[in-house]
Amino acid sequence: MRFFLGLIADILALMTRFAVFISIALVGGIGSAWVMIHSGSRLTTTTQGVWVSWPTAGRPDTDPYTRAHSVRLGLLPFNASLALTYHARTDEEAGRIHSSCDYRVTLDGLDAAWWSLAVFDDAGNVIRNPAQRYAFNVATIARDTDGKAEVILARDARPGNWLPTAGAGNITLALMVQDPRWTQQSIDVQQRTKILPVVRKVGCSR
Amino acid sequence: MEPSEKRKTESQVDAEAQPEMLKQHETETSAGPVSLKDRTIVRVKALQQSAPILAAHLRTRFTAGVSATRMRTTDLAKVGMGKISLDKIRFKKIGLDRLNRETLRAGRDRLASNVEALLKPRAINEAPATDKSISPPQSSAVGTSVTRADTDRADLSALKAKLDAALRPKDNAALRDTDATTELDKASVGIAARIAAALPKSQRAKSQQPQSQRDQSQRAKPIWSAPFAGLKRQFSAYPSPSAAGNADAGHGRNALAPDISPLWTTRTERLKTERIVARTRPKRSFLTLGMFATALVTGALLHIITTFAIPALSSSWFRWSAFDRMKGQLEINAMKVWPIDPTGAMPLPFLSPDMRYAFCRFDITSGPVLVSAVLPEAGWSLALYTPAGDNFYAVPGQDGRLVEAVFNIVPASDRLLIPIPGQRRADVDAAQVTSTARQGLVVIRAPNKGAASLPAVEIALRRAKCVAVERR
Repeated sequence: MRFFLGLIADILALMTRFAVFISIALVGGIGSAWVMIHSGSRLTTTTQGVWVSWPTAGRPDTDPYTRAHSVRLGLLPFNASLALTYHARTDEEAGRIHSSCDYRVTLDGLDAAWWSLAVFDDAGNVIRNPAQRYAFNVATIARDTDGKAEVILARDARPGNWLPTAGAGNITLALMVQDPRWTQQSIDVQQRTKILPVVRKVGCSR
Repeated sequence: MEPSEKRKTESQVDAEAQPEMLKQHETETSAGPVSLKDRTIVRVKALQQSAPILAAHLRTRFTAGVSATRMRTTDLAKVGMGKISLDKIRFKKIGLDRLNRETLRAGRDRLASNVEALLKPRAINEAPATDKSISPPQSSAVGTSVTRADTDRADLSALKAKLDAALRPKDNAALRDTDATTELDKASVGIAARIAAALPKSQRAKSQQPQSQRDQSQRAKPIWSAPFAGLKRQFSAYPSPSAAGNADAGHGRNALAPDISPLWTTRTERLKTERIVARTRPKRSFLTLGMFATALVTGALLHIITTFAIPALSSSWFRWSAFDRMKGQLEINAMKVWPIDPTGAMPLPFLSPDMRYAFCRFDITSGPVLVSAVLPEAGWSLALYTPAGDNFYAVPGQDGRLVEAVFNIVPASDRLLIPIPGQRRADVDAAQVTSTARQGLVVIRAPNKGAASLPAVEIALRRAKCVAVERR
């Protein structure tokens, strides 16, 4: 009897160890791969302010993480030599952009040949709204007299460049810039950081 | 039971406990007179044999002590498997406990007492010569023996000094058991050889034995039984140095007989030792360093495999990529202007909603595919994608200039072979786009600048072509 009890205890201990082993391997291996593919790292992404881009996305000689990122999310990225795409998930205070709050996106100096600013939910889908407002671009945005422009992200209608966010939960802003000066690195990183839109929280509803 | 039968039984019991070597020696020497040299050789052989046992025991105890200090388990495992000796381990904290230190000392003193007993000149000179068949020892031989014994004592002192040095913690107590055990081995072999060489043949053992033992010898009792016979009764688990030093004092039967017992002589003693070792051995940790390292390596492999396998998994199973999501909704080699969804829904994630799109799923397996489109202004673009999402060719629209994109998508092997109908030969090279992938997507993006511009955008998109070129 003691022999069998000892045997069962040994088997249980062995199975527990095996489970811990598998957990470490799976969490450490697949989990880290998942993070690298979804969120990226300094190896694969560049961050300028709140804007994150995958600089080699779409290129045939891209790294495996960037390629896996495009495949996993179902993206059709422009070749980085043609256009750059940035995503912002946080505001200037590093808070997650959420539909329960209002945000002001200030564009100052962004005079690219073509740019487009769109708002998506966390899965990359457009936020449905009766006004059918999903994005602004260089042709559709209303600018001030000094060339600046502000886009308001809010649940309720606002005057000016308003993008509805009601019911979206976590929000991702996508900025696509198509301009040879950007893609050919004529504009340095510091200058780009200044030019890229600033996302500030205005307030949150209770 | 008759006395002879009783003695026989004891002899059998002893014989079971003897090493094989001594059994063989018993067979060889059980008949006829036994010389002192033979007796000595047998005892020295037994001593030699006891040295490895002692060394093994010391090593066991030492290992247990080291385990108790939670040294590197991998190294200890290697020691246990006999792959390396303990002196190969770098001890950071030796932590040799008192038990092991005492055990080593006991072993050292026991061996020393054994050698001392073997070297006692009185054992040779003072024993009465009662056996007439054996001539008394000659003075010159005795003198030689004593001289050699003195030499061996000096060696023994040196050995003790070495053992003391080995037992003494060096710096952070770097005690190495092999220092001690090697010295034990060397000493037993070296001293035994000298003793064997020094003893003259004329010295007979019978003349130096007490009467009782001489009687036993005359009854052909195995000569090696003397060193072993009393051990089970005399030996107590781990003798203190003082006890070990006096080990031969209680040997009334034979003053020459060295106490050459291993540190355990009975099953009980062995079990007791094993219990002590088991207590001092630390509990096996739940996750060893080696196991953790193996898990990390396995995780790293999984990480790499996962990263590289995602494109293949998408095409074969999960339908993650844009191509896999779209291919079911597109005809092969046909341009499709994507309709505007009233809810704003887009066919792919993060696809800019302020643009109109035209898609073509090209397939160049059976031949090249002709693509043509007009890009009227900035914001327009035409891009070719592989199933993995690599944008291997793109044409952007430009302000103030009508860009006309006309080219063939050809496999790399067919480049320069298929000209575009109606195009000059010199333009062929510029009008061909090679694709490493047999299938892929052509995507035309047209900016939506408002309701007023939509009809013109619609017309421009519908003029775009994506058709297979027929071979002549």
